[in-house]
Amino acid sequence: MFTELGIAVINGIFDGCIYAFVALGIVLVYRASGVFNFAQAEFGTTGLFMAFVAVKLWGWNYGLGLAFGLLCAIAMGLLTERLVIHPLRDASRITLLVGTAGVTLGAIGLQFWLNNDTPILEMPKIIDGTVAAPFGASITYQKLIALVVLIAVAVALAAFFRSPSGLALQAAQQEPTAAELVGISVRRVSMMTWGIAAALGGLAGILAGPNTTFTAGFLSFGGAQALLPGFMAAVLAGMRSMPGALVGGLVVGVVSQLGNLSLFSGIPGPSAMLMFVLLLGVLLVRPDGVFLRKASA
Amino acid sequence: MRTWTWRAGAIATALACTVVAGCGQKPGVGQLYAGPGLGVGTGTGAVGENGLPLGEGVPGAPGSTDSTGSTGPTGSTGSSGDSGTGSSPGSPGTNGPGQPGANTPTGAGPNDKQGITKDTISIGVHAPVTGAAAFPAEGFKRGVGLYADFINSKGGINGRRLIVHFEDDAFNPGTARAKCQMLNEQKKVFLLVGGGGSDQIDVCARYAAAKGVPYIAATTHEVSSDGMKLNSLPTFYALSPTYEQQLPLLANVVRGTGAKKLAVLVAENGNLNNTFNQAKNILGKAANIVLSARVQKKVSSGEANGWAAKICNSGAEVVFWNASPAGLAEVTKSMTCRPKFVGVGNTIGLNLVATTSCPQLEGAQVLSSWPGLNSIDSMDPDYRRQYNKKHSPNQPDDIGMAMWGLEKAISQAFAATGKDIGRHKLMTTLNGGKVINNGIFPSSKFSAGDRFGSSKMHLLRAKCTPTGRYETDKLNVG
Repeated sequence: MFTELGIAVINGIFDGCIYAFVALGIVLVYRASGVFNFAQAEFGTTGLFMAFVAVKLWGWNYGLGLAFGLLCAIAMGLLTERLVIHPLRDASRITLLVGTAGVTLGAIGLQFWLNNDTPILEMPKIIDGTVAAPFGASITYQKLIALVVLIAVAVALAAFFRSPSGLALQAAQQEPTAAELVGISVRRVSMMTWGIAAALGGLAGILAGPNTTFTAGFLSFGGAQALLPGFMAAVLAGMRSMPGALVGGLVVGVVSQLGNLSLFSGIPGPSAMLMFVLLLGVLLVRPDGVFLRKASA
Repeated sequence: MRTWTWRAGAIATALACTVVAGCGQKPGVGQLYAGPGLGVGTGTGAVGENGLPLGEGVPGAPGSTDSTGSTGPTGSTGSSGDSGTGSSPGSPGTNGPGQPGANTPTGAGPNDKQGITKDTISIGVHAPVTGAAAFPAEGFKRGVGLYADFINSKGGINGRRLIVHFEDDAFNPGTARAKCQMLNEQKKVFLLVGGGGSDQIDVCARYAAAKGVPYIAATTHEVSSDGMKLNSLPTFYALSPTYEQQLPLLANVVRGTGAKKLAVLVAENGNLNNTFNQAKNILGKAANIVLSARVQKKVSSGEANGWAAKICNSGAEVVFWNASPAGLAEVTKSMTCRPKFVGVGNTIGLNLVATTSCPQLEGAQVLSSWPGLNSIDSMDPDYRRQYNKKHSPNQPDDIGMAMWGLEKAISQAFAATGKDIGRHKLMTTLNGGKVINNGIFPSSKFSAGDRFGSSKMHLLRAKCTPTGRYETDKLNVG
């Protein structure tokens, strides 16, 4: 049992890194525009597919391929903002949500269409090999890199939100009219928000993809399935707290891994059930999220 | 007050999601039917309690001697009859699957010649191109109809051209049933073919039996989640032995490895309950089972990490894997140890699986209905010639070879039935013990009581260099 618990915690933390990337993007967009961004995970899958195309099909240098994938994810985020969010800016939140879901389904359709011949794809790892295997849980260099990148991103985001650009972003999110009056372009800030969110999604994709094989819809409904856990982590964060999204991602990762304990064998879908029980508990006790102070909620 | 309303709403939603997560998994075969038992053998037109699809009669199902669908003991009137396939009544199926009497045809119904014209004969194939199995769509597209083109260029089957309709069942039983219904009722095919996936084959085989449509698959499980034996379906035929029947063959493979520790991992799928129990029983005699568990139907990368750790921690030297091929690729990618994988059935023996699961899959041994691609030229050189003729510069693959073999076997059955072919006459021919030897699958011979026509399989071995693929280890292992 102790060994199983150790495996669950270790695997959960590394899975949680990917959920945290997705959750950070979801929270960022929600704070900026009040949109539940269902396309967040697909930014990642698209980035992964494009990195794969660059590295495996076009034979690009690995680093260049990853950068290309990340840029494609950012481009997708910006296009989503320009072509879907901006034209629908006066529509209801439900309409915007449906719009982002449409982006997801469109992206998955394209991925299927372009990869009919080889539906299961494989992206090489940044560094192959295993660092350690405590309790038998494999900690690969790839997973460790994802954790390090997450920490670096968290530090960078914290610094960014203290910079003039970050403050402008927060100002535009909280008081768009007042921000316009003091010379902040809300439109540009919106673009920046979606660009950063897409970059976070792209990082999730290109870092998670090499851990395993991937298919169309990899991060949304495929092997990585990070969209729903990402949303749960965002709810834990009250949809507003960036540090909360990060910690929430790790917590959701560990909780979902607890479903692999033999204690739950025989129960269908234990991981999903545990995650929903966690969500239910949070909504009962702290409906505004665990990581927000009540006053700020 | 408003906060509490919101809170109550959110909690209700989360509670609903929890219930759905726990109980509302992808609908299994049983859920696609109205009741617990299958109506086959319970009379005809059985609805509701007998477990047949609502609104459908059982045309000439076993237990009926009336080809137009008469009222059964617990059901309502059937709508049409295709072919009489039963000669004695089965037991009423209020609490479980009704088992047919002898599966001997007695008469042809009005849809007996559906899908047949003076010049053509149409068949419908369903297989997973999307979903957890994720076979290459292009591979299927290129493979489906390849043999049909070949035989048509030689004058067809008894003067009729073979037309093949293909549908993606998305590795989902609900979709599979809808596609089979569409193939039968809209495309008006003569016969249905299952390309892979036990749940999908199960649900379509039942549908086909209810409608009196002949159904042919490569292989699948023996006993369904509700206890029904596929062997009892009057219109069902499989060219290869069941998973359960393959297990003694696989036990010999396990013994041959000299391994002492074995892990048995079978998909969390009601239709594989019997396979799981039999695997523990039969393979357990070949090596000590150190891990036996049910694996999620669709394994996420997070779950794969957990399974990989469990396998490696168990110290298993051999792993029997009978779950989704995509899941196998996920698990092998997360493993720090290198046990040897063995398996039954056809899907994990596809080259695609070896490509995505190598190098961890090196040396894996899998029983398969078709040989490795490396043997095809000596077994049926026409395949490569026809593939190159139609699809060059694409290289022939094993999916195309499997489809070629299936279509060839079906064509042989049609040819043996004669020019005046009908569903009833085809099934009479098959039940009469006609041997089908297409040179790719091990030869098959059916009878009224045995619808799994072969006792032999080919043994494949995974090779990971220079690229992952399966090669023939032994032919006709039995």
